[in-house]
Amino acid sequence: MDMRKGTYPFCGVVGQKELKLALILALINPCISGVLIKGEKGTAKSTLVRSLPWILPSLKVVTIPLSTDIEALRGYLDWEEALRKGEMRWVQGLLTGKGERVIYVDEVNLLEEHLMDYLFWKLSSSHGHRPILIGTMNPEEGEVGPHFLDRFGLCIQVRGEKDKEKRIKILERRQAHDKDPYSFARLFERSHSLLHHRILMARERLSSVSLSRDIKGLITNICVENRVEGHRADIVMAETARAYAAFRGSHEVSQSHVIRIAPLVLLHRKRGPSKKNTPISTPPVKKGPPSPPRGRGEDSSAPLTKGREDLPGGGERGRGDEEGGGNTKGLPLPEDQVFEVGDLFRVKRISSPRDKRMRKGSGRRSRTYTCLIQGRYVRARPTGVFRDIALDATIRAAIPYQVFREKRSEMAITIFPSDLHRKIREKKSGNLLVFVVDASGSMGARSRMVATKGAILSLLLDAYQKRDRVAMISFRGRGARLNLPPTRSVEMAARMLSSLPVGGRTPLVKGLISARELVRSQRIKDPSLRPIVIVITDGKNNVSVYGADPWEEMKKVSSLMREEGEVKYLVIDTEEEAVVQLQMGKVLAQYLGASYFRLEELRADNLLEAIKERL
Amino acid sequence: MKRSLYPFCAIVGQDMMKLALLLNVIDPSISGVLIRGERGTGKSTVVRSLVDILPSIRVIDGDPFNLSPDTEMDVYRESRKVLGEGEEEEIHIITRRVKVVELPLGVTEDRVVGSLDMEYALRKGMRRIQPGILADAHRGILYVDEINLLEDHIVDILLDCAAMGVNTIEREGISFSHPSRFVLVGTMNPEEGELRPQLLDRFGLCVNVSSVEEMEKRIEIVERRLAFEADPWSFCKSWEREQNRLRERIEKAIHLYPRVEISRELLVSIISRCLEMEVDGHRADIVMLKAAKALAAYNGREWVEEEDVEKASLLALPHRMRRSPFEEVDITRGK
Repeated sequence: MDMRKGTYPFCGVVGQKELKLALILALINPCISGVLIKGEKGTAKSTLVRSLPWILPSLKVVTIPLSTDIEALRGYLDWEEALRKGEMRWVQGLLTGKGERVIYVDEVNLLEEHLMDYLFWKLSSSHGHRPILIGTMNPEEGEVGPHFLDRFGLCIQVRGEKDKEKRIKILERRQAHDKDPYSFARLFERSHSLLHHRILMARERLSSVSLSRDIKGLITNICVENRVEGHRADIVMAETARAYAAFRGSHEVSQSHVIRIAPLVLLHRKRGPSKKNTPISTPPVKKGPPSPPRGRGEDSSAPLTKGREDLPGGGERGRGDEEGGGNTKGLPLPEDQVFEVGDLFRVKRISSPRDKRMRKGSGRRSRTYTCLIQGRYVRARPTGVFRDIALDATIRAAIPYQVFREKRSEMAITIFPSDLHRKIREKKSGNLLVFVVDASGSMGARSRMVATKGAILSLLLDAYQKRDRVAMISFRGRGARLNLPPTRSVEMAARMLSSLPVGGRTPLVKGLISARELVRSQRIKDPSLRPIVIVITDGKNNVSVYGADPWEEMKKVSSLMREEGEVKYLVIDTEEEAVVQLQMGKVLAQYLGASYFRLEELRADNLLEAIKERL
Repeated sequence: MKRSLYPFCAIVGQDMMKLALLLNVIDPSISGVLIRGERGTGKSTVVRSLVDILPSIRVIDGDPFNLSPDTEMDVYRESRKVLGEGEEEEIHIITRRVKVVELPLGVTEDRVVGSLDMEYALRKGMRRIQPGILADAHRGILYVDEINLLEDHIVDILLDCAAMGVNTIEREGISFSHPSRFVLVGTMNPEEGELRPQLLDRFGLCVNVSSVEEMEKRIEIVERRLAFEADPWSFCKSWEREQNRLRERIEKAIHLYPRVEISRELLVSIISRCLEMEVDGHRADIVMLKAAKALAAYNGREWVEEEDVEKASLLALPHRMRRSPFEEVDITRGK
């Protein structure tokens, strides 16, 4: 079948120069190994990938659907043959094939991790025509893990066209295409064939394109300057520069070649605040306000920060102690304040360990065995019913008995219900995150609460991407309040948070007790639930609940909660850095058996660290 | 006769919702409607009653994949194999109404995508596919009530399929792809949580419904409903002429649609609206253009007018202005 049939022609796409260039370079030099396309919805990401056969008719675009499973990728035992003829034959999976291929994954950030693992392993170890991996993603839905990110040779950030004229052109072309795809494509016949020849010529030239020592020096310099991890960036940049030189018809890589392609290599690799960005080290696509270093900051935090002004309680700067009570929410205490939300960042990986229990539901936080027909097939177990049968294990179970079994049909292997095995699968699921937020006066030091809210919102953003349920309890004054019962609506939590008032004493124990009650009642409803309780406090507990010393009460209650088990605790200490630190949060964490982070430590902007967290 | 469906024309008010659905019927590539609103505002009634006024399509008798006998015969031949059916010498082409297929909330992945018939496999040693809901919905309308409560992994599948227009059944070494293009109609109550922006953007149009405020109309609603419950048959009968008229109007619009032209000024108007609202990407432009043209066709015109664009923008923009997962959907800003 002609892959081009009915698709939009490559040269018909208006703009998106960077993306087109990246795709062409990847076609010229397979050593570039993959292109990741990031960008907002509806910016011709997929259209361009699917249109590649227009400029390289021999190319096959193999689409990996998100619902794929490992057998489909890897190949499988031909059970039809096995059952009927008793022959063992292996059928090749999606990734094996002849000729030039593009392996295309739309929404690559939603693909299950074990499938990604396999995909990269297979691609890096394949011989002959090396397939080119192309992934598209919308960063709002979560990032590709850092270890996978680095495996994509190039990364492009696409944006919609802002120019009116160009947008009109897009609409007009779209209309023409919809009306008659065939004649529309004919309009670009010439440009397609020109491009086709340029690519073929470049491929031929590629092996003779050389890199001088100076150019190699320039490349390593750029990479060091941008604080990339490892050496892959250097290598990819060299290969990309060679491809670009070949494409431009030159036999030697020049400085301008390197400078042209450097942003494509660096966008997803550059880290941290480099000393002052040189012009080369800044990808031209990056515009707008300075944003947090790599990763999701680039795309999502900018609009988020902007959107913050629209959130209720957002811009309440200057609402002071004298006037504060006028808030529409009817806040009880006059000295209450509502602070805005601080900067957002990517948080460290938080998850609960895997246990033996089967769970329903999905998500992206913790590993679990699942009773859904989804996830990685880890092993098989005997079963009596026809549901998610593991054919390989079933056939294996039947084989030893074949001599004793009467042959009933023309099948080579007779299978009894007792042979049936079903798949045990493992996948990730979301958790219930219970936020226990200290809203007492001691948190009221302005910058502190702002930063704390920023941290909580960052955690919420993480929860959104991992598909968790969230609940929020705040404690201040004399008691604790369930501000938000468990909900999937993370945005409700965000709204809640932005209008959260602060003031009064610190009834930490009350907060803990409320969390415990909430978790218990939730676990009665769903015993397989694995809640993660996140206590955000400076630990300055000063309200007694049972009439004893608040400090002793805290120790007692928290050790009780720890003994009950099955819940993961996290203490985020918001105490300000000072000469004398009370570090009471740390004590609380010890008694709870919780992981302890200082507010500042919550950030996961170090690539290496993020990988370590995963292991 | 199973004439127990409430007639589309008998529904009082909710004009925008009705219009959004009709535009999708005229051009399915407008790609769906999201209907947001509180309970009991006739959301489901409208969608279900749509069945009766939908146009007809040609299909092959007994084909669970609803393939078109005109353009998808190659897939049809392949599908016979995976269904465990032999080559048929003769196929019967029939015409039937476009279907409305419902996706229930608790649905399993297998049921949506399709799966391998295991029992058949182990008894006969042969593979046979059980087509899923996505096969059923091809060239039809896929209706998801309370779509914001749908399990995430099912949402991912829908997104994937809506984007590609193709569903792939991959189980135990069966790999079969079949076209699955449907008009996605979702309803939701925003109080129970928002949709992810990614899914939101996939809906071509979005309408916000609220209950009818005017006393007169409210009484009308009750009266009609009572009349319908008391004697569905005569009630439907009394609306038949109206229903037929609408059906004809839609069919005319479908024929007219490919010929509808738009002036350059109005293209500029579409783009300015999108730029002004700072929507992501170009999908909004394209959808708005299609909706405006469909609207013109619905009004029996071969050219688009400013009012078409105006109305189309009300349907195409509101849900696209949310810039981040946490921002609220503000439907009023579109005006």
